[in-house]
Amino acid sequence: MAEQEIIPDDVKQSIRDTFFSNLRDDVAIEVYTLAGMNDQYNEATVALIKGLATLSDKIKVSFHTVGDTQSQKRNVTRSPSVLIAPDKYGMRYTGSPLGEEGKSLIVAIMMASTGGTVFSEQSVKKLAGLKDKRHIQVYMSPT
Amino acid sequence: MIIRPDLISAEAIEIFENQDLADGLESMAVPQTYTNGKRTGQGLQPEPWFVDAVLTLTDPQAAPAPRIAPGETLEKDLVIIGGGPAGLTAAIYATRAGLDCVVIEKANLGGQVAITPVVENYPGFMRIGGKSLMDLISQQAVQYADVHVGEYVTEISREKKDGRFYLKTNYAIYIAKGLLIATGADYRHLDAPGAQKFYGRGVSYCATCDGYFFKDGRRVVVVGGGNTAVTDALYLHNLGSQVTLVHWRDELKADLRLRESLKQTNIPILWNSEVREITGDKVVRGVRIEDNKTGRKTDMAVDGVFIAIGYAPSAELAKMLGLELDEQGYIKVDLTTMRTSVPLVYAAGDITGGMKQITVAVAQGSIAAMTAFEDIQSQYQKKEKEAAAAAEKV
Repeated sequence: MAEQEIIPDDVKQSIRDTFFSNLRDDVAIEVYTLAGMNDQYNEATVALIKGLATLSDKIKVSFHTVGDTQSQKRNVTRSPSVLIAPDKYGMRYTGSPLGEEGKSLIVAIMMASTGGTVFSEQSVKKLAGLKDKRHIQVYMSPT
Repeated sequence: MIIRPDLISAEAIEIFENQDLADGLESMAVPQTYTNGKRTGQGLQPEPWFVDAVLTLTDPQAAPAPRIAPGETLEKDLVIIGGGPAGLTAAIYATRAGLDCVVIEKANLGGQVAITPVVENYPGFMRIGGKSLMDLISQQAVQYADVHVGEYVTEISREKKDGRFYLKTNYAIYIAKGLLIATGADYRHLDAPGAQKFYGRGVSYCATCDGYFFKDGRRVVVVGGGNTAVTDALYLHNLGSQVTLVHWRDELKADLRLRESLKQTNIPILWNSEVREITGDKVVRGVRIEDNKTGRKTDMAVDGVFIAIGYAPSAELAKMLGLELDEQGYIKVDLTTMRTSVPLVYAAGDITGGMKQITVAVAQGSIAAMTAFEDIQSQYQKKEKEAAAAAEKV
């Protein structure tokens, strides 16, 4: 079915072998959708996350509806939304993580699982001195 | 470790599915970064700038260069300035040849290619996104050489005694035996009232970055007639924008294949036409177009103006070094060696003018690196021999 086709087989293979082979801890991914709000993107997002979940048993996916108790707990109001390891980290996609964001999603899953970072030692040192909360929002398009 | 998960949260927001949020943005260009609700970055940010922005809640692109730590000096055989296809390929070749080199890139890796929607003439790939192609080349280059992003040269001088180059950057001091300039070219800006005022508010030089704002029937003009203009027009058309191409001549310079694709789309072309003014309020609302044959001016209501009228060389460093430039400001090189007018300084890629093709940049990068290797080897071997001969005399 269409749901299964969103990630081509060769890409699946490459994600499984190259990126997900070293996952360490389980990574919870919560997907939130609401019928009538960006339906086409909801379907694509659900298919994408389901597809990724087949590539590693460390990925634990749950699906929720915007407006339900869980969404209120997580402060999710938009459909689709994807939260990565929300009990441990504040990483979320508001909108579908397709196109370029597909790459960042893979990296986010790897980091959430291994606790690793893509930042340089110098950046890590600088950020160690941070004293207050920061909520970073990056606006983007799928290209 | 994920850095400071106790204090930092991150959210990627897709503008198309969240247009109400996108409408509230300060500019119609993505990516755009906000930290704690304050805009802290426009466009792709090099990592050091991003980190500074998160810490200071300001856009560090406007901030002065950080001071160089005293004594932080690095000796290199070759310093490559510019992280596009020419510079990155040069790094691969130079390192493989045995030179210790570093690539310094002031903004982002990939150069102009990284913002090209689709590349169809790079052998080995029938069709690949420009960003994807440059990701592959960058990944290969960093296996060989240090690649520093967000670093730029502030001063260059040459030691009279040993002929080596002294480069100050915003982070370090380099002492190099040779230099390779691959700083590329920047967009040529449209010289018309409104072009600067509405930049980021409907005026764009990057269809890949900003096209999504004009999806679904928004009216745009693409200004230009070369490969970039036609690629952008096709890209925007495929996104669903209502595209009109405005070109100052009566024929397109773009490749035949692109011209044929354009024909199939029925995108209207205004020949012999030039944009004289871009008008609007908070955002672009229209353009005034002049027919350069008849002098007749017409106003056209549009939501966006994409400009692709060619490139201007990024030749500041070349000027600092006193390199010979051609009449358009590109660095003059011997095309068989990529040597410039100054010994041990090489140039490759768009900064040398000419075709401005990825394959050409890649070829020139490899030639420059190999020449640099030969020159540095022979120069320093000669010096060693002279020193040995002098020592014997003593």
